[in-house]
Amino acid sequence: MNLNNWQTQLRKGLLDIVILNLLRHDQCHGYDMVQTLKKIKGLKMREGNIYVILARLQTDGLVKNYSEASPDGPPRKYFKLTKLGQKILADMNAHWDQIIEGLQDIRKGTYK
Amino acid sequence: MTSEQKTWENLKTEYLRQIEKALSSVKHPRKNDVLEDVRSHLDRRFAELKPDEQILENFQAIITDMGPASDYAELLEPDSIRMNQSAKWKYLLWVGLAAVIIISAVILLSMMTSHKVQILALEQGRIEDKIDYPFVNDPQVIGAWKSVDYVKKEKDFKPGKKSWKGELFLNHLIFEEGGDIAGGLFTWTKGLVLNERSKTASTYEIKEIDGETYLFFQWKSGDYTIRHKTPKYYVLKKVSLESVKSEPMLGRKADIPPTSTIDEKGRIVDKIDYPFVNDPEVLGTWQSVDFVKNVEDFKPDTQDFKGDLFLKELFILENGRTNWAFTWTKGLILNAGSKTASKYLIKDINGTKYMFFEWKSGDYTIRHTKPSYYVLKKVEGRLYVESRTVDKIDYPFVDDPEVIGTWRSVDFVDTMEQFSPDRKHWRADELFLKELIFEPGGKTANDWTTWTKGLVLDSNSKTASRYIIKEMDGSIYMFFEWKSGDYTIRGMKPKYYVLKKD
Repeated sequence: MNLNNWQTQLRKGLLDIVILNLLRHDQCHGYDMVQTLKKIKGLKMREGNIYVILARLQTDGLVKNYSEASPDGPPRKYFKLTKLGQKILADMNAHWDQIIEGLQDIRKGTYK
Repeated sequence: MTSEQKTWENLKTEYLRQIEKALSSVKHPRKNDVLEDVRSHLDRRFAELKPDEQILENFQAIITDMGPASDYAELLEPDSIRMNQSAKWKYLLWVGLAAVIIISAVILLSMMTSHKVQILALEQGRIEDKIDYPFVNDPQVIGAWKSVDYVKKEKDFKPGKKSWKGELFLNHLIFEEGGDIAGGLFTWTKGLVLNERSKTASTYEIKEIDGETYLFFQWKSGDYTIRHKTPKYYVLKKVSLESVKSEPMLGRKADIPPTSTIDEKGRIVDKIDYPFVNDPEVLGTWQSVDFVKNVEDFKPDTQDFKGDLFLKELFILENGRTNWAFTWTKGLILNAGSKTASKYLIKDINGTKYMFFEWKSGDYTIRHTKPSYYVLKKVEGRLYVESRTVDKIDYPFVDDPEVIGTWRSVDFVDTMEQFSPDRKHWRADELFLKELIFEPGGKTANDWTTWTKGLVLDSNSKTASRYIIKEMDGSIYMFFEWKSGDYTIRGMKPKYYVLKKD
């Protein structure tokens, strides 16, 4: 097995849920989201990736954007979760928790 | 604008252009939003640099942080099939309508001929015929056929009276035993001539007219695949093999330079070991505007070539480098892979500089056809950004006894799924990579390449190419990712060599 490939695939699969969770508490500007995501160890986020994922999430109706005037330049685009996005994210988080719980049990040898 | 700002603007524009190019084949309603968001992000990164930080290294670091252009298409592509319902229905409706019209046309055509050609797909509006037919012999067709006319309909042909006034591009067809047609471009099965590259299946029909035997061959060029016109017919007459042996299958015969040789497979091998001689006039950026048979055919106001130009842009860089797998010296563009030396000629037409670049494809090297010319226009204000994809290559050695040995190339495919042991896309002698030798302990036949389980690591090009071993129809095949400049420089997905163990 190629560990590097596995890590890449895992990262790609996680980007959606990570970005949605970032928007869970507050609306965010793409640039600021990048700064936060870059700090997550192991995620190795490329800055341009976020805009592609946001575009997909908007097409799926999970995220919407709006523009707000900026004091130091052109208006800035902010992103926020839609109601559908909040619902889907809740389901995604629940599913994720189940997987993590199951994996931990397997690692500890306590899986039934 | 300072010179640093200009440099940044050029880098930014080039990066955005690369993303736009990478996204060109992706049908996503928000792809323009992505470009705008990236542009705005880049502007903000630049604005945060202090004046003394506005240097090329920092600009390049910003571009590197953004990630390769190919990432954008890869991340957006899976969604292209998840368009919103309304767009999806409109898309399906148009595709459906187009398919109905074309399929009807083909049904009509096939009613007129005795053979049925099945259209498999419409790729971005391009017709792709079904071409995977089993071989059925037809002893009557075997032998050489020479073109005598080119007609709109079969019934238009009158023996002894040539209706086509121009030059006949197809000179001859030599049908060989077993389904090959000399020249390697076509194969055949009873009633059909198949072209793997253009994905077309053309009917052929043999008719006796006034005591002579003629072959009517449907000619499926871009007029059929791209512009969806009804194919016309070449009319060929059976002749002796000797009478056509000296001419190429297509076009005029190439003037083979005295410095070139013909190898044992009949391929033209040009001399390519020229010393570098500078030519300041050729340095710079050239964008393709046309593809013409002869230099004098080019008219700046009209495009002669109606298809999609394969070579879109050529950066001629200092010291004999280019952005493609070519090198250059004054008057020549050299390709070490195909072993061709193409002449280039620069002309000033109405105050604009044009380069005429001899395009030496397989038509020249294999079929000995006179090369056509790319016409490229010199453009200013475009800067070449050499952003190479560099793979991680420092992997520990993990043994893989299954891989040790010599593997010989049998095909080259876009995706692993495309490979079929029964139907090859390339002839073995046309393949650039002939073999891979895996020695024990991670060594290969050369010093700069090593291997570890699942990967071939190239310290020169800094690439890690996956190899996958699969059993198909009782034989063991290796799929080897081919990471050429298309991957490292132009950000394209690697294709695969298919190899078989000795």
